[in-house]
Amino acid sequence: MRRQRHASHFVVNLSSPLHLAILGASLLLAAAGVAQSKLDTLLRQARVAEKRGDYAGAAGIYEQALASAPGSLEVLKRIGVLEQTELKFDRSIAHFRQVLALDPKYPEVNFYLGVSYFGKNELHEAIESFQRELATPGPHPRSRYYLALALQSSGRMDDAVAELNRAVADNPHDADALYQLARLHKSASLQAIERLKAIDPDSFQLHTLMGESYAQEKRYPEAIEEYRLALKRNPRAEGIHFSIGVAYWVLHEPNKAEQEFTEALKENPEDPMTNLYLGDIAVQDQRFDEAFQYLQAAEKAHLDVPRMHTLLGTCYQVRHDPESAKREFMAAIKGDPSAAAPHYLLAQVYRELHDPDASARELNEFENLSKSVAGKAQDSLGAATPESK
Amino acid sequence: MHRAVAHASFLLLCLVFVPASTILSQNTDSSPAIQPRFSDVTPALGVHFQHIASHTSKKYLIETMGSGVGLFDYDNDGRLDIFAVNGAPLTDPTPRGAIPQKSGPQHWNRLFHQKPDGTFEDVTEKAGLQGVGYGFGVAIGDYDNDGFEDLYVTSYGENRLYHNNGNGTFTDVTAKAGVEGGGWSTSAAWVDLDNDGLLDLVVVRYMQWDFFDLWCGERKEGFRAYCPPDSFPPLSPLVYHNDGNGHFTEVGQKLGFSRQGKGLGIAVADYDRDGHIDLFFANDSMPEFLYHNTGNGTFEEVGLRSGVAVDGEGRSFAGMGVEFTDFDNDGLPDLVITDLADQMYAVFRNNGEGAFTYDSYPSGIGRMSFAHSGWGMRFLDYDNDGWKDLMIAQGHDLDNIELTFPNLHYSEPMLLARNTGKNFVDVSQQAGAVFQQPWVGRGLATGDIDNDGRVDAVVTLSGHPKPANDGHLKTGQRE
Repeated sequence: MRRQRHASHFVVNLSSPLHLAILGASLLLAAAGVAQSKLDTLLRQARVAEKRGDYAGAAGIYEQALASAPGSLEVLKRIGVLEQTELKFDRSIAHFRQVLALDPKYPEVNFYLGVSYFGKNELHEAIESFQRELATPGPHPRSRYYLALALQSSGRMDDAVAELNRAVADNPHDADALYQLARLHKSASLQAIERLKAIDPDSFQLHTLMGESYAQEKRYPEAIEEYRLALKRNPRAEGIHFSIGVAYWVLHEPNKAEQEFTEALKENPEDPMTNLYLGDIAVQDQRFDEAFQYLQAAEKAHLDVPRMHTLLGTCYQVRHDPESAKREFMAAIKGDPSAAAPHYLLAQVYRELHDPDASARELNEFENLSKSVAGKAQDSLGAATPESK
Repeated sequence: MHRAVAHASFLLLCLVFVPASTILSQNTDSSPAIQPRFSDVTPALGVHFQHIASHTSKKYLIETMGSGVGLFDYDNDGRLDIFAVNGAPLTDPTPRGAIPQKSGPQHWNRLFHQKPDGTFEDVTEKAGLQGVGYGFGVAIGDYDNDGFEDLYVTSYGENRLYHNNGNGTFTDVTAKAGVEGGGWSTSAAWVDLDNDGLLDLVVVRYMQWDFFDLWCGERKEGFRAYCPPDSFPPLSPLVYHNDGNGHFTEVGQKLGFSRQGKGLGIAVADYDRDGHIDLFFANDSMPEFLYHNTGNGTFEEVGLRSGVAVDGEGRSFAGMGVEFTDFDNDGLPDLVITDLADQMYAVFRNNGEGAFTYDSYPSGIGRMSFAHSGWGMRFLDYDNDGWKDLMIAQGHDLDNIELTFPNLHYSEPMLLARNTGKNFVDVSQQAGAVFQQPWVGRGLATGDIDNDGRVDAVVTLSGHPKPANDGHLKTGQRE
């Protein structure tokens, strides 16, 4: 009812000059709206054609769009993008430049221009375009990544790495950037190795580097071999015995590991990690007095890792010092609250201290944590179960 | 480090077999004047058995097992006979839910009858013991007290009870007895749980497993590995009460065997000398179980409380074979459990207070086993000095372990550890060529095969395409 009254009022006042002017403007706006709507429809149709690979069809629709909205920057940009898709880089560049001449910061056009230059291997122009895009208020999200690629292609590795690092800082889940970053580092590493090889294929540095590389890849036997060759070239080199010791440790060869750690200790008697490894091996071998000395040295060097506390606790237990053992096992638990074993060891100490309730409590905690670990492992199977080839 | 699996049929023999040793002296000398040796007499005895594990490209865990073996006198002629368990063919891939079945004589279980001249003849078909399914363990016991030993064979999917008819044949009475089981059964033990004079049956089960196409290990050619047990849920054992009329009733939950484990081995002993038999379950990569018989018809799991659930550092290990035997002659049964390389075989000395002390290092077993993986294990007094020595079948479960750990081996020589009365010393090097040969050892049974008063052994190897690991059964005799 109210709507009808409002309409009749509008019709009654049509004769007023002011209202005629308003009507004219409204009609123009309506016409513009119709034109925009038509343009939007055409752009949508063009996108559909592009998506199904009908580039000629899409181009035709864009021509229609340009005819209905001459000089439309968006249409020109889209035509440029289509041409880029068809690897018609020169034509796409012309269209992008046409847009930028009218609006130097038109959204994403500098990015696409950079991509076209990149496609033509005109790296300097590509880099400049990507940098201009990054200076716009809302740059295309892949601008920095492509800038890094262009920098990399032009041999500016450090700049490329810096841009990729910034890309990863902006988006820690950017797998493409991380991949490129890894490739760059790997490539740089290989180049350095090749240069080292060229200088001396049997150098201490090269063997050490190869040893480290193999160790990183968990190829410990090869790592040991390289480290030994390094030692042959430079018997007094520090740190190599430690690295060999770690490799043997991982390979479950404690006797050989101990020999190497003993040599490493001569190089640096106060090194906390060397002392920890030696202490661990000595505890496994029931040489508790010896282990105690190593572990105390590690502790003195301010090492504070749960394993050291666990081992020290075991030593105190053997030395019939349950209070100190208790302190160490509690420190181990504090350092790694998810570890079950220290609770078991603490339970033994409480039993020794004639505190059955505390002992039972720790055993209970041990069981709960053990079950939790088992549950997590089974959960991981649940995820992997569907025929993971 | 991937954790392994095993079955423990060898453990079951302790119920029916006593090593034919005589305690001559309590000698604590660490080096006997004459070092007894063992030699491989398999071909001479006419024993031809090849285990077939049916390895596939998918590395199904089931392939790492097998096979169980038993020494028993099935026809009461005074001579020990041999029963060996075999696998079944696996398709590559095997569909989930499949229960592999034996398809021909090459997969049959085998019964070898010892003839008066000491050689053996294959009487499998005549005895009706070809078997079904992919088998793992065997338990031997006279469940109906008719004077003839019966057989219970564990498999993946369904187990079998064979009644010894006393005329050289056996009858499959599984369905009638109600002991089919289900899931993955590994070991079993005949034991009179309620002191009613009838053997009850305890069946150890491994875990809730199926033929998943799971890739474990590095994704490189040759590096695919068997998946560790950690990823699979545990399973409770089956406990069958012998009703005395040829039928059994499953009473596991009722008796208190409620905890789910990943059982591979079982051993029985009255560890607290209260007159009631107790049970130990060797679990793979989770705490071990010690079920204490409360004496009122129920059992209570006391592994953690008694100090046998984990090693001295509170770490679980890949429990596989187990012996529950008084090795220090103090009248209290002690525990030895085999496991994987890098873990050390676990030794728990019974301290007489219902608790045990982890004793792997002081006993000497820890140091000698650090780089080895043990399966079948038996105490035997091989030098007749009154101290029980230890023989262990060894070999890693991963057939490509050397690719990642060059110092560990799929094929390993057996271990013979002499008990000096103070500790154990490795005497394998002096005990004959059979202790130098790398085998994929799995099952082990001991007994005086030739009735000469000296303990002999039968070892089964897991069948593998590699020539050195041909899966043949080995019969070793003490010289």
